[in-house]
Amino acid sequence: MKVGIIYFSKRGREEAERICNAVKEEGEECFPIDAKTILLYAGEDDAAAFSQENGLRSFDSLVFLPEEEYFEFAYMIIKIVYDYTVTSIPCEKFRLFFNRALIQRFLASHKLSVRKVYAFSEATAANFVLKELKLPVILQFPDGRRIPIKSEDTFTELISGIKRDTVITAEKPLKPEFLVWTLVIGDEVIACEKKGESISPFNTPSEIIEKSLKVSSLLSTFFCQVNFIPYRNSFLVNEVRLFPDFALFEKITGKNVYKILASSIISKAKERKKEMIKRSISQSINGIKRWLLEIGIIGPRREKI
Amino acid sequence: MKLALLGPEERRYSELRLLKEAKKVFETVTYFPISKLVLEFDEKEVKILYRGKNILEYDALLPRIPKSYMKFGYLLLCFAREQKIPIPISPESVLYTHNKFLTLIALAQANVPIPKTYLSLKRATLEKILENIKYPVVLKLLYGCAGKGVMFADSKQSAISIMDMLEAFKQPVFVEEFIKNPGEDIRAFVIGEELVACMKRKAKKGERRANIAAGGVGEKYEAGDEERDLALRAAKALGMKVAAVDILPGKKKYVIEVNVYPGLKGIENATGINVARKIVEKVYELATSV
Ligand SMILES: Nc1ncnc2c1ncn2[C@@H]1O[C@H](COP(=O)(O)OP(=O)(O)O)[C@@H](O)[C@H]1O
Ligand SMILES: [Mg+2]
Repeated sequence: MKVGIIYFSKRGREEAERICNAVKEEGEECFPIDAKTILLYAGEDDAAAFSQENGLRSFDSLVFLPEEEYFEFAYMIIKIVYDYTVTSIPCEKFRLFFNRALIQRFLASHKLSVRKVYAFSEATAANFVLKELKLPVILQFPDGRRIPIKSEDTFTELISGIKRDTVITAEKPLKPEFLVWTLVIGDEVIACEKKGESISPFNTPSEIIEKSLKVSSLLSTFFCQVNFIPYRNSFLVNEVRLFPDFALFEKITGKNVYKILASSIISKAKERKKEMIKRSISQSINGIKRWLLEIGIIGPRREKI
Repeated sequence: MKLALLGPEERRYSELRLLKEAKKVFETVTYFPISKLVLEFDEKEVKILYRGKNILEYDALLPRIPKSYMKFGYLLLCFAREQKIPIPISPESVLYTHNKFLTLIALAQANVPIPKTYLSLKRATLEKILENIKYPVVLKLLYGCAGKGVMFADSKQSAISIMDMLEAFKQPVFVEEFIKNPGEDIRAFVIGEELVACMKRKAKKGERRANIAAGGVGEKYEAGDEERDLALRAAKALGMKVAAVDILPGKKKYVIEVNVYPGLKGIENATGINVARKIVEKVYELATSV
């Protein structure tokens, strides 16, 4: 099996290398792929993605470590490959990420409770939100930044400086005594607790395990990080991240996160590959065309890239 | 029947035309500036508010979403779709059509002919392509419109200097095969399953871009079967019941772009067809057939 780990930043590269080493230890091939080396192609004979002359669809599985800045590019890669290669997240679910309003609503529609959320993109609308919610509020930006606002002045100042078409969400802040972060990999849930500045392993109650697994399965993702916030004798899903802080979980809990990750990637890839083969047989004419494109008989590689 | 028309704060020709025609078809028509809208939701309900008024109580929604409101507009349409409000375009089409490469991926996957196009984050990744491609080539801003951000390079050297600039501005590098054409393109306006209006745009002298905003002139054009077929398939591939499809003419025809926020002035003036009315009637039909 050939696995590719696609990364977009320095932290991404470090994590990709660690994951690759762990996958190799399981006896499979694995390559870190810098998104900057990826060439996307669209033409009459379909679309394709390459990294250093290798068709990305030739990988059995592609794992994404996406970041907000390159969201659109990552989306385009997934869109191109996902019918033919097992990706760590399907195309339509990937769209929900880096978009707090969409993902919170998605979770709510599957009976995972959320609090009231407002979303807006311009100062004129922000004032309405402020009137409804009243200070203090907590604002969240697409890149995950969260800013508590206590005075009207800081609010106005912050809002007037935002880039156009940035979707901001506003909620009432909670003052929890602690937070729980879980790393979900397949059926495994690894939890940490954050109290003030200190982070420690967390003895996970079944509610958190169930909710973590539910989130991960609703999003059909290989892995994710779920951040919980205690609220009224229960836990709310406050955030879901597609690129978890693997190194942190390993450091805090002492669990061999990368080994768990590697075997999960391999088994998920195998399982989904089976479903895919069934699908591609039913689309065989296009399948053959795509294969010809991948190996360079038609399309851009015929022109020797 | 109540129609909510969503668009930029400043209403121009197209928005005014749609408003005028909509008032003849719907009992109530309200124009909502996207920038002033607020989304509110919890587990139980979803609202899109404008000064306390909930847009989701309208019978249909006609969005005009420019690039500058792409993300927020997409979000609003997702929520409206969840509430089953009739909308003539899919929320995804807002994201797909403003992003020129994503448009091409969708078209390629639907087997609609498009020029060969390459995209990467870095110029270096495209270097080998530059050696083998035919010149001139077309370079585009991923999110350009109205001809702005479309550039032509007659040699590898000039392509490289444009790419360097794109990279310096942190823009992805977009390179497209140049399709030989007599300085013209075809703008085909699709509503539902019909091509309702079509014009040919001729670039002004010394200009390769046929956009009206770049000085091009539009004239009525009788679309052939092939052009009609391409336009309908392109609109369908993107989930749009209202779309303006740009086609490059020639022996072989290519779709180069699909517009979710097309201007109506050029097409109405060139063809004399009341496109605004036809759009509104389509939306009315969607609203009354649920
Ligand atoms: N691949 C191409 N080959 C030749 N001319 C092109 C090509 N792409 C664009 N053009 C010219 O440039 C114009 C603008 O391109 P287009 O992709 O439609 O961008 P915009 O969104 O700015 O209108 C087209 O109408 C056409 O005249
Ligand atoms: Mg155009």
